[in-house]
Amino acid sequence: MNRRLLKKIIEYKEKYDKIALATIIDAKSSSPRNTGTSMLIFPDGSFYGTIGGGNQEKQIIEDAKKLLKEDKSAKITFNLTRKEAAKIGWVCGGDIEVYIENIEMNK
Amino acid sequence: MKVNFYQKLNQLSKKGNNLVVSTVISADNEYKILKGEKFILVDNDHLEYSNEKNKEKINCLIKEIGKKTLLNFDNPQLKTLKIDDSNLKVYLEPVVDNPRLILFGAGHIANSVSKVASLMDFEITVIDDRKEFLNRERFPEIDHLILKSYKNYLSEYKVEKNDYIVILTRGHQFDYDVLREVIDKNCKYIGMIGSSKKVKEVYDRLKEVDNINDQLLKSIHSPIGLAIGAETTAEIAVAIIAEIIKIRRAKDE
Repeated sequence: MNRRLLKKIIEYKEKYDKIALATIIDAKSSSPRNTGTSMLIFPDGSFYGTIGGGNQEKQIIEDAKKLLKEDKSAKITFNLTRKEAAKIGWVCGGDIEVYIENIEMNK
Repeated sequence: MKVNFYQKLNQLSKKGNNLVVSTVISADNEYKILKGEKFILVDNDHLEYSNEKNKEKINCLIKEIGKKTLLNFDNPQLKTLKIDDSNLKVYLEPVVDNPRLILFGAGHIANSVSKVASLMDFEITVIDDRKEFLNRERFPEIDHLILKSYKNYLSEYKVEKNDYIVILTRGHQFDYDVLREVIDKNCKYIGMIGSSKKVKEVYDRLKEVDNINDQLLKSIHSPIGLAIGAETTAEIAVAIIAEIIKIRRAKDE
């Protein structure tokens, strides 16, 4: 996690009651650079950062919105084919695990 | 997770501690209660918990991971563990700073460089003593704008080994002043703009007046940027950042 993202999380305290932090926690057979990539998703579906774009990111944003509504955190697994991976500029496909954490902004 | 946890993390990171954040992604049986919990390893010596109630269980977990594993890594990783008959997955992630990119000079090329660099993960600083060049209109998104003479800035600037320094000042004398101060400091990259004639003059002076050796001079990237035939300021900026990316992502680590 980089410090800039950490600061952002705290900044959004003024704006939202809760936000979701989505992080790629494991990317088997994919470029290791992808692990640790994070983005923030807000209840209205807007977001900060990117974890690579494409349909997968869209899916993650939808899942995060749903999880925020339900006050839940969850791990989501994707399978990227080589073709799909190439489309969003990743080195190669494989299983990708994303952890979506619900952060409550109120004390 | 409550935002307080991240506030605590932010406070700790401001103090310059080495931090590793861990999240229990999944857990069953006896350890099920830990699911979603987080903890921070601070400077190798103590822990902060998202929930003090689960302290003991988390301590067992850390014992299983091994403190050494917790410390000896640069990249995030997912660990699979088995404690008694519980299966757990724990995600470990160091808190890292973006490397610093320090731009000496706020002229047209510096402006383009800062724009290209802001697409990458850098903490960007621009230094210049001309208000008409160094302002928020020209640099709306840059982390730190420092309105000071180079000399004053250099007297307080501590070079870090992960720093990238780009010298784009408005004249020979300033280039010389800046380069002389940073040339023997340990950092990732020093690049200086200029025609080969100007560069040679600066180098000659450093050799003669300051006894700087050839080996140090060779480590300076000048002419600056990858050779892609750049002509406009924007193209030069891309060439400079491309050179920096090449060094940053070199696989010899």
